[in-house]
Amino acid sequence: MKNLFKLFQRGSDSIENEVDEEFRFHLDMQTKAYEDRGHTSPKSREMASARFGNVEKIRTECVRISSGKSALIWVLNTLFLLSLLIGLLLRVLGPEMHINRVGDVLMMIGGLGILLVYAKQAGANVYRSTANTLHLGLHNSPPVSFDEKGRTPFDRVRADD
Amino acid sequence: MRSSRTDLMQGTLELLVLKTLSRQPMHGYGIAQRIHQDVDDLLKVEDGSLYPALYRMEERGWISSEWGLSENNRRAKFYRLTRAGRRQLEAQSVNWERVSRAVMKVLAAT
Repeated sequence: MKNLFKLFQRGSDSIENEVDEEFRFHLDMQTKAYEDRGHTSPKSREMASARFGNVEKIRTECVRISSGKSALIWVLNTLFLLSLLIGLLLRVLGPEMHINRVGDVLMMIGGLGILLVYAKQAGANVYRSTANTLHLGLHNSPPVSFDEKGRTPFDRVRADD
Repeated sequence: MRSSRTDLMQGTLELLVLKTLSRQPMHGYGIAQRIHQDVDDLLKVEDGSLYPALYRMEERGWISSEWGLSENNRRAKFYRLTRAGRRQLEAQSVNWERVSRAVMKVLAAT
């Protein structure tokens, strides 16, 4: 229920936060890579930023692209919620049987719609708290990067198992 | 940095990203690293330019994203290819081969 509430709250702030977090991760990883090659921290950060490009411009572009999707989801949610509420009103206050039936149908459409949008969103936004839930395709692809012990992602997953 | 690095042609980045993600799900940084590695630094790809391309491709349904844990246990957004993305990769690969063959023919003509 808390997630459902969050879904309705998900606005441009959360989009910006997600973009910021993603960029921060990228810049931190790149900075670390330069540091590992012997550069100082400030120099590494500077080189990582230069390699990334114009952060503000790219950030604005990403938020704009994501907001389009967000607006559509907001409209769908509003429509489904309205359908649910109107259905509920007709169901409770409707004087005749056939009006009650219309209320039932509207409630069903609204409820199912909200659940569908929620399920679609939850799949994309759920934060997986354990490393084991992400499948990296261990048997048919090369490793992406190494950790401080020199282990590949696959070694780490196998060690966790 | 090599002086002979070539600017990336429009639309090519999408093909490179699709191909990279066809191997395994990756976060944005991993995709950038992998592309730099694969093109042997011959093409000029600003890391940041990758993200609008990723967001657009997600909008089109070619890739999907999910927050997970990175190799250093930090929260990172991982991208994976969808079925539509795999079809798109096939179509774009065929198109790319056709275009490059055509250009090579023109260049080879005497």
